[in-house]
Amino acid sequence: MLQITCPCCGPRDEPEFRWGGEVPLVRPGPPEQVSDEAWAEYLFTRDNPKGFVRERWLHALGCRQWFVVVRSTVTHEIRATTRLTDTLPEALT
Amino acid sequence: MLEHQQPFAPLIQGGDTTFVAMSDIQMTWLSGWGFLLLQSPSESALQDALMSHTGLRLPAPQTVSTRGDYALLWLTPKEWLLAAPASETESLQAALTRQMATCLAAVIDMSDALAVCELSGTRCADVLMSGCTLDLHADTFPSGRCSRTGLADIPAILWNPAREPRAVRCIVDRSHARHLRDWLADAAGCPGLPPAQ
Ligand SMILES: [Zn+2]
Repeated sequence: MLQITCPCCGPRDEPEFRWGGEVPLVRPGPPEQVSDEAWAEYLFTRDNPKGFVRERWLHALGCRQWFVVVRSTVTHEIRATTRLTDTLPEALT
Repeated sequence: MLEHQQPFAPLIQGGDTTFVAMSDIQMTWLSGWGFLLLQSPSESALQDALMSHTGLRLPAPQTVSTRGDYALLWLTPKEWLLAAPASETESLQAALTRQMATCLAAVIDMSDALAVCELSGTRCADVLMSGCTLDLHADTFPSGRCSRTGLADIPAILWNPAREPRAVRCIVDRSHARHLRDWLADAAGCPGLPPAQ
């Protein structure tokens, strides 16, 4: 089980959280000008790297805030957690 | 061991305080309380309104501030839960709403939505920790502390109201009260828990 440090609440166990996918993820627009390929890219294509990823998590059973976690997809090591209003941490490899 | 009684009918009917004695642990459903959910990004305006109507200060994250019959629980960075005598909830809601009228704010009466169970006795932390991932012992969950978390697979706000006697209050959705009662009764009788001191 992961222990994730919520920027509001401090360390809590994984069952309190929901995973929200990679960031940054920029929604293309305006919708009438976006091609099918660009929509498909936005909806389905992810980098899914081996190593550190920046991803969004929700502290669903705690303060109900979304925040950013830098986590290794290989070891589950968590390098940083930051509020969404902070600058996004640098990408790590 | 567990002494099973039928003490909760009043709770289910929305009635009075009820007790169940489980040898060294006691479950009390507190009644007579009202709850206002306060949401606002304007902390200073909310602080002024609370100060003039209740004398309460906004608490630090994961703590409770109390004054007289009032308690204010931190829930999220822009959200607090005000506990007050049920008879005062309506007038407090009106007064706070009036004073916050020029701000982005919501003052919501949650009194009928929530139920409060107080678990007391030396084993209360151990019983709760069998269904919750927080460390609820007094050194890590001291008096004046409150945390929203999962308890027995439902969302719950846990609150340590005082150093002595040892107790933890669990605020849950009223529709989950029966489930929590049954779960606590099972957990308190579970042979895997540490024995009474
Ligand atoms: Zn949190």
